[in-house]
Amino acid sequence: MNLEKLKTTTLIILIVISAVLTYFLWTFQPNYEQLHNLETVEKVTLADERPLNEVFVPIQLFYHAEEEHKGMYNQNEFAPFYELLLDARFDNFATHSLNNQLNHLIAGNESIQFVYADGISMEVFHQLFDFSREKPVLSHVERIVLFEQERGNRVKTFAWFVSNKTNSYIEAEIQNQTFQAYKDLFEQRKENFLDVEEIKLGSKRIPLFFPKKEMTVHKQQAYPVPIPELDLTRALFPDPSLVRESYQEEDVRSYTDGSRELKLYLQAHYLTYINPTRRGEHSNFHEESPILQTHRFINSHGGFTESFIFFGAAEQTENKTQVDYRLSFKGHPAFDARITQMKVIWQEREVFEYERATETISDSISIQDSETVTLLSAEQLLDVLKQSSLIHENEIDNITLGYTASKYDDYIVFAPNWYICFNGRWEVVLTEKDG
Amino acid sequence: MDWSRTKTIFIVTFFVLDLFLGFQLYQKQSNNQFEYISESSVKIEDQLENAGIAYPELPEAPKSLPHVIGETYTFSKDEIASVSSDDLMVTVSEDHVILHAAFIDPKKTLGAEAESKSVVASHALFHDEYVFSEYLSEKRKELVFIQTYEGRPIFQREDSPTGQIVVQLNSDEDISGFTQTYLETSEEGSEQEILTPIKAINQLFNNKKLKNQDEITHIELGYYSLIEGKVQVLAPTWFIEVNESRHYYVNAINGLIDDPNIEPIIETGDDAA
Repeated sequence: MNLEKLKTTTLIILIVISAVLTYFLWTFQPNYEQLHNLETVEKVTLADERPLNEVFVPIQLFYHAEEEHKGMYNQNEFAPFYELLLDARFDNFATHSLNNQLNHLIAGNESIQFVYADGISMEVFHQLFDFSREKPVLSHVERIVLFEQERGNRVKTFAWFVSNKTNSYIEAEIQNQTFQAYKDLFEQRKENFLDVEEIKLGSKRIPLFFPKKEMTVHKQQAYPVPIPELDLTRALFPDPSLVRESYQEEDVRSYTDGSRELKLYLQAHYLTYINPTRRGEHSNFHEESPILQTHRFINSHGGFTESFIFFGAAEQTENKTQVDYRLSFKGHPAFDARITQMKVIWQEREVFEYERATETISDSISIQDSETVTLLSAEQLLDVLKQSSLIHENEIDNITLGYTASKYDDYIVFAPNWYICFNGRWEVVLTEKDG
Repeated sequence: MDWSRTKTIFIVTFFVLDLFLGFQLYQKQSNNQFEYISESSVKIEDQLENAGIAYPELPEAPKSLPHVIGETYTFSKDEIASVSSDDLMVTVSEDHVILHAAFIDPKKTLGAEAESKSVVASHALFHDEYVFSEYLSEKRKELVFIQTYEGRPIFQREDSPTGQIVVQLNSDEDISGFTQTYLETSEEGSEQEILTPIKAINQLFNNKKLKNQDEITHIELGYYSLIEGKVQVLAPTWFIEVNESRHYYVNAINGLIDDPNIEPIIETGDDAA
């Protein structure tokens, strides 16, 4: 009998223990310290982030076939081609010398050519495109050319990442697309393409194309609005509570947090943001491409207030790189007025200087001006360039259709013009009529 | 029904169940137990020792400090008058922020540094808030005193005229006068955690600013701003001297290093359009 009592008690105890254990298991919470009065800094950004594929876009598209060259200068119009390219999967990379290869390729194959405003490091393409595990390296890719060719009894689609500056190209095989897909797209949009012809200018390694006929394009107008000063200080400084107005002159107002200085030019509607930290001796270990770092820096404060696109990168002394982003207005790069450009000088892992407009036209309506501009044909362009003493024909790297932005009191006029790039600078092509 | 057997079976079952639940609970608890990452100062010290880097006894540092705002002070007429005396002529800049004092008869000195300290102590305004800066004095070949905040120096860039007293010597090495600027200081923002001195040295080491066999000859906590202006936002900063020749400022909050040892090329931006 005693044994039975003992058993009963043991059973009850075991049942209670199991209930307790179950309860603890059910309600278990790690014993972490609680955060008290956590102060958070509300992050202010000027605009939404823009991914790489919206910023690193070509400025021209050419379709080359036998005896036929077609071109497109409006990014909005050739966007479907670029979207298709962004879906491509690349493999089997091989690097070659460029020499005269691109001319041969265009002459002997049907091909499609995407032209960027300036050379982009292959590191950017690693993130932009779907590459196989390989990470090919090339520092200055200015164009991507697609074509198909029969190799080993199979027709394959290839892409060339062409760098005129380094006289080399990387060939890659496109695994998941055929050239026919691009041709189909071209056939659908053929009417939007212009007839272009090769003009014998610039480097002999890179053929330049230009419309055969004159074009008439309307001027446009847009209305900028200022970006609030408070938003700028909050977006650019990591801890806005430390920011103080440090200096004021007639039309310049400065803010600082002790490490960086923001100068607002009130009349000219632009700002400079300077990080004067002295870096001393330079380390040479490999850093991520400055182009990618500047893109991340601008996104960190929502600096892509307009549809800015990558437009150039130039190395400077002391490990600095200047990266330029340019406003794409109605599918064309815009020049001149402050609002058209953002400049970032990057040094090692940090921004050194950042310059941009303090106005935006992102919400502005744009009005088509009744005034039109007649743009030069290829023949006329050659005549103009031959007469110009300032431009050396063999130094021309690129020619594109852009808008010249002129700021008036409360509006900006965008006038279409041809722009040429020589010695890394973009200049408008002025005809005698323009002065 | 054999109630006794049933109880035995239940006892065994619950015993096994309790063991299982207990084990589960133990596992859950041990999985969620994070060990505190031990302060890696020992490692830093070892690293420095391996590299043959020597350092002096490290100063005590508070756990946290706030930023300090320094606003350029405008000297009042009374203050200016209080400095001037029969043998000292005092003028001020147009905006009353720089005070110039010139001795009518330059003071003969045996040791310029000691004499300058006595000149500052007896003639300058707020003189007990300034300390002699060996670094700036050597850099600028002048006798420079920098301002302090709660006993900690407010370091200034080499070309800065802010928050300091500069004692001038004539060609005979006699003290001819001094200029003074002053910052009105106040604390700003919340206190933030401060890098310990060994971590500040480690910042230099990790950023390849220290070479093997280097010697840290001086380390001091103060305040520093990279930006000149009427208002300065001063961050707690470690000033570190290496081999009595190289100098670094290490921001004690975010670890950023200002390296003045090679002067940058001064670039001018475009003027306002």
